[in-house]
Amino acid sequence: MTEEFVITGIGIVSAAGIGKDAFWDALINGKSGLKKITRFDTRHKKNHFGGEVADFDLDAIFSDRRFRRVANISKYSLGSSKLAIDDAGLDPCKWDGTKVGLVVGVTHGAISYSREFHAALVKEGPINVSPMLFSDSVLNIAASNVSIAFSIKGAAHTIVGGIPAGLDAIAYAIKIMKNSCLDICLVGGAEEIDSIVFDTYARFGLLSPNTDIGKMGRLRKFNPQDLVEGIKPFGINRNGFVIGEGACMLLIENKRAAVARGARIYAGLHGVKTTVHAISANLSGFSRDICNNEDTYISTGANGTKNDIIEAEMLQSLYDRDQTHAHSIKKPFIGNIKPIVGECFAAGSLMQAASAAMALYTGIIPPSNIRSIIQDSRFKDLGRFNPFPEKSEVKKALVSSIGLKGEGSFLILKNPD
Amino acid sequence: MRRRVVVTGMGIITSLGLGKKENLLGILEGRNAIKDIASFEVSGYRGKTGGEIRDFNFSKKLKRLKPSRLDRATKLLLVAIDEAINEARLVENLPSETPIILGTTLGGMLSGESYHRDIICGQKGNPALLIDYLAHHQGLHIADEYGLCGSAFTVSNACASGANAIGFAYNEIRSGCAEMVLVGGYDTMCEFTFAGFNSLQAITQTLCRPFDKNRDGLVLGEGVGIMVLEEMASAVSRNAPLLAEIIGYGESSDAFHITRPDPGGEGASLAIFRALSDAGVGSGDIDYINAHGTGTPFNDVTEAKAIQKIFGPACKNIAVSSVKSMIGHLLGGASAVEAIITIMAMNEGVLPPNLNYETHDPECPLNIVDGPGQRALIRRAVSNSFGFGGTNAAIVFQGINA
Repeated sequence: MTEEFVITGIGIVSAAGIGKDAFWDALINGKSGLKKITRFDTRHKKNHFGGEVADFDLDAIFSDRRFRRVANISKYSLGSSKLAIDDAGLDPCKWDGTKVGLVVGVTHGAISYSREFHAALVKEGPINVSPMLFSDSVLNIAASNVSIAFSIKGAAHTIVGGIPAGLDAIAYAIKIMKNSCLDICLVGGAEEIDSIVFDTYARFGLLSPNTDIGKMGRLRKFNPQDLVEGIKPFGINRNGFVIGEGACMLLIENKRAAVARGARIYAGLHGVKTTVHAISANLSGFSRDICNNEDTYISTGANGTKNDIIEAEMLQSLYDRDQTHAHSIKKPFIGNIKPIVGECFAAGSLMQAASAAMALYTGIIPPSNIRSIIQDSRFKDLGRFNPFPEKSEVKKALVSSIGLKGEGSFLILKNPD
Repeated sequence: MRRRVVVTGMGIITSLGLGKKENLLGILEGRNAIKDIASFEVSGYRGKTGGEIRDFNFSKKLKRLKPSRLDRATKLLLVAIDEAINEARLVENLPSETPIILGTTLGGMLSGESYHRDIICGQKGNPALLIDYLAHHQGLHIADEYGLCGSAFTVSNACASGANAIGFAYNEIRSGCAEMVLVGGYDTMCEFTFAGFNSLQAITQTLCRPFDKNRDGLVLGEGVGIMVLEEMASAVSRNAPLLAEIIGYGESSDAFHITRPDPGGEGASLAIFRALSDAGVGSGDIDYINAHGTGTPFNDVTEAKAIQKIFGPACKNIAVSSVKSMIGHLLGGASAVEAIITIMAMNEGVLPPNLNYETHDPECPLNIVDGPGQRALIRRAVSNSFGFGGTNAAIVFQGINA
């Protein structure tokens, strides 16, 4: 794929900040948004931390009475959409909505409203359940609200997937843009934290810290030093993820149209691959893009679970495949945003893409957030783990994301010029 | 040269029965498969009927999956996929890179219900959230079982999910991104959704009568429809059965309201218009419209407006029916099942009936197929799908010999 499509707007609602500048500032300065959870009581739980978007005020970004009572996932999506559209310098009142598309990736959807609706049904019976809770709990609710708010009439899709679903949404959006003659597509990922998801992931040993060595986690022996809560991507002492939430929207448009209207271009979409079985995926097409004599940046999806091994092996295979110019290959910068925003599932892989786009645009590589690499000689050589931000003539970036069921998606972004 | 897309295999399960044969027989007879709901207690609800799949015994030998952990949705999918790949002669040689594109609104909601119920009742050990509840789990399980390693997309655009999946798959092949795609839609009957539609007062207490003046709501159903789509030349070269050609697809979004369609039918007509333009056919080239026709007052009048707007005077020659009168509204499964029924009807030369149609509605002045067994030459057919949140899609099918 040549850079037919480019990113011209970024909107983020995350624990580390609202808006791309706040998000980028947090990444560059290593300011984590992970804190003690306030939305529900964690006193009797083993885990207490999360990347909550605390006190989110949608009205401050986008005031519309119709969306007063929507679920958090819709609020984050509406907020980040408005930020992305503004960032791109576009005005939905002026665009031809039939030429605008929307693709939103979600993992759990509006799970808080599903839970409330179901609880009312089980406890009180069918008579008093709220129709609003039901219609606002459907999986495509975030996309529906965004399409209504911003008059998006070309197409509105929701792609359900695991952690890589945000990248799947990009892959899907590129295809519908090509096939349906859309000028603009808003692509996003959105997630909300809810107590039941938190409890379940905690119970099955996926959350850090984890003293319960369950079958799902396959973690090493419990070590008291691990009781510092946080995601340790590729870490020797990694012990699960910290759950996060939020939404990230990217505004994608045809490169020629973007150039013609003088839009700021963050990055071009150079290639994308989605697979149900990451470990057997053939990434040889990406090898040359990443292994060359230029600076590259890899935003990894490692989240402190067994996924990290799969991802490390995949990245390693990028080098193993192309050994012809091994001596002149510059090792890429390896980074990770999850210690800053938490594991935001579908929204997380989109935030990774946003961080890579920002790195390409600003020429600054954020700190890697990877401190204690897996004790395996093969993985020590994955790349450069910069503890501080570095200036770089970075030309390409790889965004990689592996889901809890071994599925994976990969995106290559390219410097626009 | 434009790449052409054909259907080479189909698998279907609805309340009419398991497989194409049973379903075709039901369509020809105009059998009403709506009965009192048996899978949960309905005494507290306004409506009490639905299109449930009865007597489904899952006996398929699985290579990789454990049946005890699977949701009913996954089991239905596995059986329908077997039927489709069997017809397409791919049982032993389904290419491992074949993408799988599925549409659903609920995914494994029956597992989800037991998960939610356990937690509400203080039991926290239910692992469904990690196994087969979320809507992308089923596609991943399918890929695992059939040894697929390509891409998998789960599209959840409410009741248009399946049509969006088919449209996406069609474009994948047409654009040269894939030679073959496994595509479909599914949803199961569960109390969660039933209670939701009941609270929205969308469920009828009488009968589902699409386009009838006295229509007063929809009936829910469950089912799965799976199709194998293939590039025509490669399908011909391997002697695969050619069941129908997909020649056009269009989609749009109302951007109007979460549960109500745009009353002017603008979004719906844009989707139909785009599908016809994509196919390069005019309103006179269509012989049959498989309507979304849910039987709710809002949907049907909007759909009728959209059809009239696009087809104009040609409307009087175009037969229209909604099979939801026989099997109910299958939500994410609706479009794929209806696509398969449309293709079977096309190949059989018989129009699927719109049951319970008694009183003409001047607001829906369409040529409704009011009874079973009406023979007709269907060269090309349009299948409409519209969903909550204002998603609209239309697909144009063409008979192989048209």
